[in-house]
Amino acid sequence: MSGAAGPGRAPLPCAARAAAALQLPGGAEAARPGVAVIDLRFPRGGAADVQEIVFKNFYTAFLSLRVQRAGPPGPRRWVTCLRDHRLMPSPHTEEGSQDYFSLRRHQMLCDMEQVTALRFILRQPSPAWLHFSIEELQVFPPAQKSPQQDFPSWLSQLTPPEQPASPHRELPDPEKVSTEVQQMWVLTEVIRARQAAARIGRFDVDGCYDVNLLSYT
Amino acid sequence: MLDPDSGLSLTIARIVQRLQGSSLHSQLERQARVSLHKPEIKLESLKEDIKDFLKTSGWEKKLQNAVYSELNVFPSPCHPAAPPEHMKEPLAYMRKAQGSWEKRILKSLNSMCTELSIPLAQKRPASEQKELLNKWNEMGTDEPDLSLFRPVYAPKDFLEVLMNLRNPNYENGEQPSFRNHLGLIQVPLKVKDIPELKEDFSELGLNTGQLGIDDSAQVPPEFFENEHVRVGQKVLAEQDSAAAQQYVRQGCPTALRADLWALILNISNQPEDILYYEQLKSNVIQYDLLVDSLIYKDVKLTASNDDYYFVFEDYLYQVLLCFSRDTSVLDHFTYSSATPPKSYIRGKLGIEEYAVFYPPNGVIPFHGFSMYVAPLCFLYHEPSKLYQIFREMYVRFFFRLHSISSHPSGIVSLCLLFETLLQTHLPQLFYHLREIGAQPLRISFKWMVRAFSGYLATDQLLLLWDRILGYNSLEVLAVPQR
Repeated sequence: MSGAAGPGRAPLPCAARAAAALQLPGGAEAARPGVAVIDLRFPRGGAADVQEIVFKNFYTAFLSLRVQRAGPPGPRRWVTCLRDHRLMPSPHTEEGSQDYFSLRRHQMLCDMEQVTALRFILRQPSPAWLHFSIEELQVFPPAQKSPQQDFPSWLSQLTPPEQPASPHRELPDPEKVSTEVQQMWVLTEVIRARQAAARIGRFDVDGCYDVNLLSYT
Repeated sequence: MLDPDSGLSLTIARIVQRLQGSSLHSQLERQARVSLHKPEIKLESLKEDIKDFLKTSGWEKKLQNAVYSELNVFPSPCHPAAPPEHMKEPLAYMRKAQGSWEKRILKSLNSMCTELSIPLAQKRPASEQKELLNKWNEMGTDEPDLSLFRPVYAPKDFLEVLMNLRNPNYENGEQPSFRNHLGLIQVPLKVKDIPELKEDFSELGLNTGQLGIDDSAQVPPEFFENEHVRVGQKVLAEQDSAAAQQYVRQGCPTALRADLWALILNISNQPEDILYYEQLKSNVIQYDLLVDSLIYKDVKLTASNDDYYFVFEDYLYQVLLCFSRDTSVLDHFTYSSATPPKSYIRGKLGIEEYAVFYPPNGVIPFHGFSMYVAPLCFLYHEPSKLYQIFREMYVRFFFRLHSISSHPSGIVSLCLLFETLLQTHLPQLFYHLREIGAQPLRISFKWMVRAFSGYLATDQLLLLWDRILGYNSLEVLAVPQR
């Protein structure tokens, strides 16, 4: 599905384990704790730079994020990069409960370079909800620079450099005038080329609107 | 959520795209081209001079009003990863409930069709077309046999659906607990409490003058009324939508109301708008829809029996019949949780090229629908302007009153807000009504669904609708007392 926009944005392949609720050891029956953890690792122990994390919320109220980075050999430490980020403004009510969220690099407390694993700590303090989790998790690397394809490059070269008009001259500078006339011509061409979004307003098909029954699909 | 910068650029891109094909755009282009003949436009500073010209001639204000109108109507853009149904309604179980409710309506309409052996739509024979054209201005004198028709649904049916709305992920235990609401609505939507309402609706506080209270006979007009009318005339002279919207929060003087509402809704009744209305009228003449009979029946049952509105019966037909054939109303389904009903041309079932929406505007009227139009007839007498005002009011506000959604102005939130406020403010009344088996929402639901049309005297109703326009929200409908 992924509606992620922008050129050169493909999510990094990763394996996310299902949300595991944290339980107190030695409990007789499984209580419903308000904390769950989702671990995410890159395949084959790889590391990657993380620019943005996109996900769909499902009744999680607060999110904390910890990452493990590739570094000097030895026991790897978990570093907290997001602490209790609020997803639902009011955990007892529906606001924000099924919304899509983006976590960007500039929101993080630490560097997101050469990340090997991500740990999402989900908290939902309200006992009103039966389950909570986050879904459709996607991790994006920094985007590559893509060339602008919107308008032809010669258009941008037409902008004349700023030159104050000299009050002592009799006639306007011919070069300046021709540049400006060129600009105007380009503008009119662009306007003509643009298609107006015309509202047709017709509801029939080829003059026929014989409708018998409504369809359920 | 959406990054503020990318959210802003998405909004700008969307507004530019919507305004690009509009008549305002071509008018601005034409004005800019015409201005080239003027002596004050110099070639060296072409862009700046044209911008100044548009500002002084009032065209920039028109553009501002159009942009403001777009911002008011469309919700803020969703996250790019969100699918389109998320913009219609973010909660999955509400989408599902709306889908099943719509299916019920379709089944009801289909069964009525089969019982009466009437097609949903057909072309009128030429003689009938001529007859209808002749009596276009007096369709109320027609007395067709409508006894076999029945409204597709009434507000009380809709209330039953809302009462049974449940979030499958919510702890809906049988034991009474803080999670079970004492009223009829059992979904945990966020509604404002009294302090939040006081802040949001600060202009309705006791220290601010209000029309409808501070202009009564006992209060000398120098205190508030004269000044307020003067400010209103100034706002109209400036032709500023945003200022008008702020102004009407304290009520509109009767003489200025029609123009102020048209300014807020950005309706200017240009020649192309009149032409569009005439085209809709010709569609009514050419095609006969089953929905027309439902409209006839509804008008005869509700507005014609009302002391205030029976005089406007003919206007109501002229507006509602055209409304059913207006495909521009389909645009509002991008931000409404509802979906327009689909059908196929006879004999072409399943072939996508012959798929059509029925009715063309996608809205099936229910019992009381015509009451949305009736109060507007006091303000506007020209059919095309009346039509445009109603259409704009519908796609901004009224559609939320009969669809299931989690929007703060949606009917579910309004019901929950009403019940919560009543419990907080008048707990003894609430408890008593519950004990005698008369849940307060059962009484007030039909008032809210109709936006109080038909239940309040017209002058009070119009003052209430002033506030709906002023705050761009239907929450004022749910507040039990002012």
